[in-house]
Amino acid sequence: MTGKISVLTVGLLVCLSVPVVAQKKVANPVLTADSLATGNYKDVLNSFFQLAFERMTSPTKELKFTGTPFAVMAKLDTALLVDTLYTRYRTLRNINYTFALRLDTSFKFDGFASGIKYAIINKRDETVSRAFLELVKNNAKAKQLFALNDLILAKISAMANPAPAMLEYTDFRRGIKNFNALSQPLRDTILAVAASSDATRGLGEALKRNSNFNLAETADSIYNDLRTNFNKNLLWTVGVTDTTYRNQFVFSNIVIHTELLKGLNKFAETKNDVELNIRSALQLTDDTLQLKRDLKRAIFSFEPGINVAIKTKHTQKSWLEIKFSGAYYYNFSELYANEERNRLFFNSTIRVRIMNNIWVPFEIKYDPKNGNLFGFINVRANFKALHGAAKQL
Amino acid sequence: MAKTSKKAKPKPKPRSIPSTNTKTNTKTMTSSSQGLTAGSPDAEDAPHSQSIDVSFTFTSGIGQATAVLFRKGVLINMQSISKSGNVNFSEVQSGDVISVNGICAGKANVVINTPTTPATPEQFNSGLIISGYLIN
Repeated sequence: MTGKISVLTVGLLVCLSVPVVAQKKVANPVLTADSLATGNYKDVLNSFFQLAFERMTSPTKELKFTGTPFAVMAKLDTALLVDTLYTRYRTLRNINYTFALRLDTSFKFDGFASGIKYAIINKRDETVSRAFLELVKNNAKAKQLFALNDLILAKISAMANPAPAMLEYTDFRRGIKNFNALSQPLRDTILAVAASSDATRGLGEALKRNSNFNLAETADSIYNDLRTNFNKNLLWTVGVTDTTYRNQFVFSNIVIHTELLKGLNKFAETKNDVELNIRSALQLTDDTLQLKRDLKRAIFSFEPGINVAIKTKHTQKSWLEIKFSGAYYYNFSELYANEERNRLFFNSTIRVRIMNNIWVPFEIKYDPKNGNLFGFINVRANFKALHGAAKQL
Repeated sequence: MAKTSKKAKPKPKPRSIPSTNTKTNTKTMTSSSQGLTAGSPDAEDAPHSQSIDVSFTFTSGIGQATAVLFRKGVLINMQSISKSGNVNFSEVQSGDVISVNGICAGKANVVINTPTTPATPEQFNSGLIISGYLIN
């Protein structure tokens, strides 16, 4: 049994990780990547699916699957991804459900866990935000690119033989050719039209200064900067998680939790992100002093923290995240021997991105009063579709 | 000899020169032309004109786009769209150029129902849509 579960666990993790690599080769025609988001954000609210192998070094390990109902529906009916329908399912996209298998030290089944989470406030979803589109549309740099495109195309339409110029310009706008790789006549035309209008004069100067100017990369950079800042908006979730006993389908643990995430350095010209992350939970567990199984033990926790995401210079992807937090626990129930009613911990989580969508968070908990130090290591893979689904879409 | 009062024929009015302001609404509309003069190309009654549709499909997120029809350097028509659908240009000639500018938060697919250079459909990932098509 032990062998079967461990083989199943590793196999499932590997199988579900394969599409993450494969998607680099086969472009997904419909689903979009959200790999620019921080690992901490994806842990709070997942867009599609997440597979996590948590507490690998702890006596109680957990293999956890998180998904959204919308991701499953979209897999079954890709028409739901078309904007006219997509915008109607905002509520379903703000729901996360979780199923988890709990395993003991010898990878034996140790209970089943499930949960549901809902984002009460989600101001980070740019895919349905008209305000975000307006923000991009009214960006001064984006406006210059749009104006230059119009002016050049107007010029091409007036040419006696427009097809060669159009093909060359297409390579330029798609980022296949840098500005200096264009033919001299087209370069001169672009510089001339850029200089002819106030709307594009600044861009014309930039083209003169930087002969390696790549239009597609510049456009992506403008958009990604704005999206990164938009993803620092407020996110507030509430949820409930339950765990069953290993030998009985009865709840051994219920946690009602809420979590808030907010970027602190929005529109700052800094490379790294700083996020405020506040968690609070009420945990109801079995009081082991009683013979009967019950949920009479209530523990309240409050955990405010700051997450710092260190990003790469050009792609703006966070590759390392360090979170510092404090945790306060209050026990409402009858205390066990040598147990304290109030407890205080200092926590730190280091998340390392080992692949595009795979994170390895390492959690450290320190009890300053008793001098105890605890450590947990997890593996979390955010992925957009189950194996093969990307190819079907 | 009595003079007969003859009503003077009104002089033919010069074709109006619309404003150069090319600001668009987010809804589909036909805009005024940019710098259109009496000598500007006229699509009316041109035997080789055709009606074409520029079709936009936004997936995994919303989007918006503006399509502009240019002929011999002159802006002929401009229409905007803020969700998946078609933009129709009723009088399009070979050699005209359609410029497409926009934004998509997910993916966007642009299709023109006539041969163009470059050929459509063309797909765009999330970001700015900056493109143009020459009508063959």
